[in-house]
Amino acid sequence: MILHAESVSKEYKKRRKNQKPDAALKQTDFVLEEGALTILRGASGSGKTTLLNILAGLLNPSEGHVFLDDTDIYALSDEDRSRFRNQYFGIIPQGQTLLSCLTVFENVLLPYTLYGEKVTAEIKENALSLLKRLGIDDLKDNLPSELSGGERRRVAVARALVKNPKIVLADEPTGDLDEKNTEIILNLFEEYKKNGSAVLMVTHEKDIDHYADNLYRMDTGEIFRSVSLRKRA
Amino acid sequence: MSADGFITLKQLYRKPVRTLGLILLGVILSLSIIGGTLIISGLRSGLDSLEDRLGADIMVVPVELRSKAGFNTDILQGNKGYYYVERDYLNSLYNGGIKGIGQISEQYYFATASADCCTAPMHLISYDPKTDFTIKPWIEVSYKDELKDCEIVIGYDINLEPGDVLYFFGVPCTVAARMEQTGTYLDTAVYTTQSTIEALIKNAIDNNLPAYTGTTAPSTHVSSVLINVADGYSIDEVLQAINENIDEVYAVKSKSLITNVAEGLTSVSGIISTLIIVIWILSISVMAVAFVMIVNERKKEFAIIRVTGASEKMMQKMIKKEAFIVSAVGSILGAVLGISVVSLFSESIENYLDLPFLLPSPANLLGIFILAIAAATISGSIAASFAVYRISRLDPALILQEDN
Repeated sequence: MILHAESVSKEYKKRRKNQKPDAALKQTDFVLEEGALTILRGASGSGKTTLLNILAGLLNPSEGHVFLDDTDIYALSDEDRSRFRNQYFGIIPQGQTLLSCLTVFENVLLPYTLYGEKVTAEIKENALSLLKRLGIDDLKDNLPSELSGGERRRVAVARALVKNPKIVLADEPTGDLDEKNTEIILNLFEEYKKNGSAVLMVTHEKDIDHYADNLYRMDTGEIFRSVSLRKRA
Repeated sequence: MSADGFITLKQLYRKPVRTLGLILLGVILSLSIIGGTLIISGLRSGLDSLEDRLGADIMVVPVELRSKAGFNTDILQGNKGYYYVERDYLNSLYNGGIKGIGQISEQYYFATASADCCTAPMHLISYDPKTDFTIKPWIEVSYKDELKDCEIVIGYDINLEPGDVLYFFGVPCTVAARMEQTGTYLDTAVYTTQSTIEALIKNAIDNNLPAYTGTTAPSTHVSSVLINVADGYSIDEVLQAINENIDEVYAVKSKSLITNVAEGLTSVSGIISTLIIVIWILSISVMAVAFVMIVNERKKEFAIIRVTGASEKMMQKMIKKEAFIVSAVGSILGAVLGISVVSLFSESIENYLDLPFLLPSPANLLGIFILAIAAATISGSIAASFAVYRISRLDPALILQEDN
C-alpha cells in the first residue's frame, strides 16, 4: 500500500483577525512507499508532527489530499476514516500514550478490542512475542502507572505493531530509550518494512540515519529530501 | 462486549474514588426524588384515608375543645384530651328539636391506665353498634362478625394478634381483629363497643381500683356525636342550628377539618417539591461539571483511543455509557435507600409533620421506585450531554501535540 500526500498544507488561524495565519506545513507532496523505512528529521516546531498527523488521518489539512492507494482518506466519514486507521495504520504518538485504566496486555490488544474483534490465541501469542522482543513480557499484567517511561514507550510500540499494520507512523519512538532498546525497535521496524509495511519515523536522532531508505528533513514547514546514507543489507 | 463498554467498565473499576463520587451524586438525586415523592404521596394517602374514615357530615364535640389550641388536630386525633358532654344536653338532636338529622351515632373515648390492672395505657374508642355508621364499615374490612362484649379490634400499629388477651381495669379483653393501616391516629387506637367500656368501668368501681379516676360513662356522657344530614337539608343549615341551640357543644363540618389538614399538606408538599427541584438542579449541575472535568482530565487518553482507530461516535458512546452506568447504579441504591428510610421513619414523619401518613400500596411503591430510577438515570445522562458535546470537539492531533 502506498500513502500519498498531495499538495497538503496546514495553517492555524490566529485569534486576531488582522494577523496572518501560522503555516505549520507549507504545500507539500509526500509519498510513503511500501517496504521502505522513511526517516523524517527536523528541529522542534518544524512541522514533522503536523505532517505525521495529517498522514494518519487525524488532522484535516487546510489544503490537499491524502490517499491510501486510491482512497482519499479525508473524503471518508469520520467513522470510516477511524475504521480505516484502525485497520491499516499503526501509530506511535509522541510522549506517554497508554490508557491508565488498562493493563500492559490490554493496552497492546486495544486495536483489536476497539472494534470487538475476537482476540484469538494466535493474536495473544503474537502480542506476547512482541512484548518479549521488547523485553517487557513480564510486565504484561501491570498497569501503566507501574512502568518506567521507557517501558511505557515500548508498550506503545507493541500496540502500534500488534495488528501488522500496512502503514507505521512513529513520532519520536525511541525518545526515552537507551541504545539497546532503540536498536530493538529499529530492528522491529526493519522487519515490518521487509514484510511490506511502509514505515515513517519522525526523530531528532542523527545516528540512526543509516536505517533509512528515504531520508527527509523539515524546516519551518517545508520538507526537503536528503541523501540516505544506507543501504544496509 | 463492545470495546467502548469494555473501556468504560475498566475506567469505572480502576478509578474507584471517581466512580464512587459519581455514584453518590446519583444516590442523592434518586434519594431526593423517591424520598420526596413518597412523603408527598404518603401524606396524600393518609389524608384520603382520614377523609374516608370520618364518614360523617358533621362532628359534634364538647364546646371546651373549641377554644383549645390545635382544635382540628385534637378532633381528628380522637379527642385525646378526653372532654365529655352530658347526654341530657343532646336531647334536641334525638327528639326532632333540631331538624335535618339523618344518621346519628355517638362515640366515647376512654384511656386505660398505666397500672397493674391494665396491660398498657391505650386509647379506646367505643361506639354504639346499633347506630354506628363510621367505625363499623372499617372494622368489617378486617372482621365480619359483630363485636361481642369484651372483644376489641386493635389499630394497625398495635403489635398484637387476634386471640391475644389484654387486661383493662382487670377485665380480660380478647383481640378479635386488627385494622388495616390508615396512617392516622386510628392506627394506635383500640375499638370496642360502649357496653364493653361500661363493663370495664363497673369492674373498676366494684373492685375499687385506684387506677380508675373517671367520673363519666357512656351511659351518661359522650365524647363526640357524628351526624349525617337528612335528605333535603344542607349541612350548613343543620350545623348552624346545632351551634345556635346547644351551648354545651360545638358542631363542625368534617370536610372543613380535612380542609385545614389539606392546607397543611399543600404547604408541606410545596416545600418538599421545591426541595426536590433544588436538589435535582444542584445534582445535575454538579454531575455535568464532574463529567466535563472527567473529559478534560482524560482528554489525552481519549486522543489516544482516537489514534488507535475510535470514531467520535464511539467516544461519545463511551461517556454516555459511563454516565448511564453510574447514574443507574446510584439511582437504584438511592431508591432502595429512600424506600427504606421513609418506611422506617414513617411514624416519625407523621409525628413531626403532625399530618396523617400512609405508605403507598406495594404496586404504587413499585411504580414510584421504577419512576425514580428512570428519572435519576435520565437526569444523569442529561448531565453528561455537555461532556459528550465537549468530546466531539476534541482534536486528538492538537491534544497530543499540546502535551509534548
